[in-house]
Amino acid sequence: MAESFLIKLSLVISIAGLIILFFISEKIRPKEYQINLLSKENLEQLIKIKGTINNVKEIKGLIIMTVEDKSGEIKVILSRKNQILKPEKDQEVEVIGKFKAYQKDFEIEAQEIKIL
Amino acid sequence: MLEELISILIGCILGIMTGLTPGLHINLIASIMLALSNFLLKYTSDLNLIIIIISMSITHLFLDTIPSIFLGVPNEDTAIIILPAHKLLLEGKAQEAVFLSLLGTLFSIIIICIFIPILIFIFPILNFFLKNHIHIILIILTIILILKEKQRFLTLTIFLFSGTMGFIILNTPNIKEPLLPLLAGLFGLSSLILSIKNNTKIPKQINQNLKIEIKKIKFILIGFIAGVFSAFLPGLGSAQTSVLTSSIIRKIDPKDFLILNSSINSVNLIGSFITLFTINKARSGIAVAVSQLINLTLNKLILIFSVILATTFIATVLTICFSRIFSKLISKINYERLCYSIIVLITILVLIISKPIGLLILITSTSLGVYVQLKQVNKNHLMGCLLLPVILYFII
Repeated sequence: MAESFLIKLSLVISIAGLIILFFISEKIRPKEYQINLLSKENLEQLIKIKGTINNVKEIKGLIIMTVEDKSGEIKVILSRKNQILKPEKDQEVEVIGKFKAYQKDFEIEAQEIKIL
Repeated sequence: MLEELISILIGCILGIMTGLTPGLHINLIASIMLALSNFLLKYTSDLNLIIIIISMSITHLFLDTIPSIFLGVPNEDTAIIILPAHKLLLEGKAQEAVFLSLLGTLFSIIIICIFIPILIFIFPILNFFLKNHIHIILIILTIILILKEKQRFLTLTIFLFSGTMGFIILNTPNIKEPLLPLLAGLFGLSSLILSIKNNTKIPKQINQNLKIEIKKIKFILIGFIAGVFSAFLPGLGSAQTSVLTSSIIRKIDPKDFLILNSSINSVNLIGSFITLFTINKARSGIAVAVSQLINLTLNKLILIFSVILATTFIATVLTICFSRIFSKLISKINYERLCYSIIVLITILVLIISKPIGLLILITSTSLGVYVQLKQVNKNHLMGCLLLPVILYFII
């Protein structure tokens, strides 16, 4: 394969790949919400919240915590094996997860917790 | 005593698996052990779990250069040595590449153990003065790196391009192990593709009588100092540190770079325990695991370093043995078929771990790596994929 052709091909694929990655990233990036604005309309959506941990407990491999922001608080559930660093009370966190209904309440099934 | 020895051996076995298997990271094993810690603690103590994790990480540290050197398959700590290691492989000197990495790792571990009391005193002071200025240091060093090149505009463009790619990928949620397709593509697969294109043949590896040259000690010491900084500064990994350090040194050939990189890697990992002890910050996945299992006191820090020294001896022997085995096998294998097999293996690994978006990242990063190599731009600048996100993290 002529080298000049390979150079052009690799450049085109790199640029195209980066553009596609950018658009995919924008599309799958979850929207950030204030806790009190979450409602039934957001069920099963991937969402992001920021807040402070009020309390944390670990039960049978699950971390269950309450995260509070200025507007309210919500329960966040996370599998222990997905989180190497155990969150602690009073930590500022960013939570990305699925908004779900459980019994008569709402909760977030966290996929990622970032300690800020 | 017997329990501790058994724990070290278990850790070494796990370290062999993670070190020689591309894509299998010690952090993954450590996080699984943490998740199972409640169950495991019924049968053993928390100290024995720590011993297993530490000895696994040290064995991994020694052995993970072997797939990088012989197979061209990197991880985030060894990505940057692929090109110099590959050059030595093509000269029949892969064992020398392993030996040089071993030298850097072994002696820097000994040096850091000697300097523990001084580092315990120095770390908090350095952290206090430097932690809020890391982005300025990184920007200055990056500019120096780019100005040293002949094709400055192209180098800057590539740095920014790879930096943008890294920024997008690292800030996109739900990508598991994003560094795997990113670094494997930039540094691994791109080299393999060009080896296939160039009909590269691996010569018979020379069974060398390798000697320790005193003048190489200089790079071990430089690596030690650079590694100390990367151990306590947030966001600065060993690969970025290696690239930035090599930009400051006037004359550094590929062999010296191998020593430098392995020295920085070792100090970065081991220094993270001192960072945890002195400023209560965990700068590595292993340090995080240790912090979750025990409260790190001076006695336990001494225990950790005893385990490190004991494992170092075992891991040195293992590295020499595996290096000889790989050395005998590599020239008997059809290299083109081996390259294709590794490409397929990495692609499958990426698809399983990082899913289809990982495949897109792999294709994009591989293309960029191929482009950079064909345009004869220094591949070190592709580390912009990690440097630029760190700089932006501190600025934004």
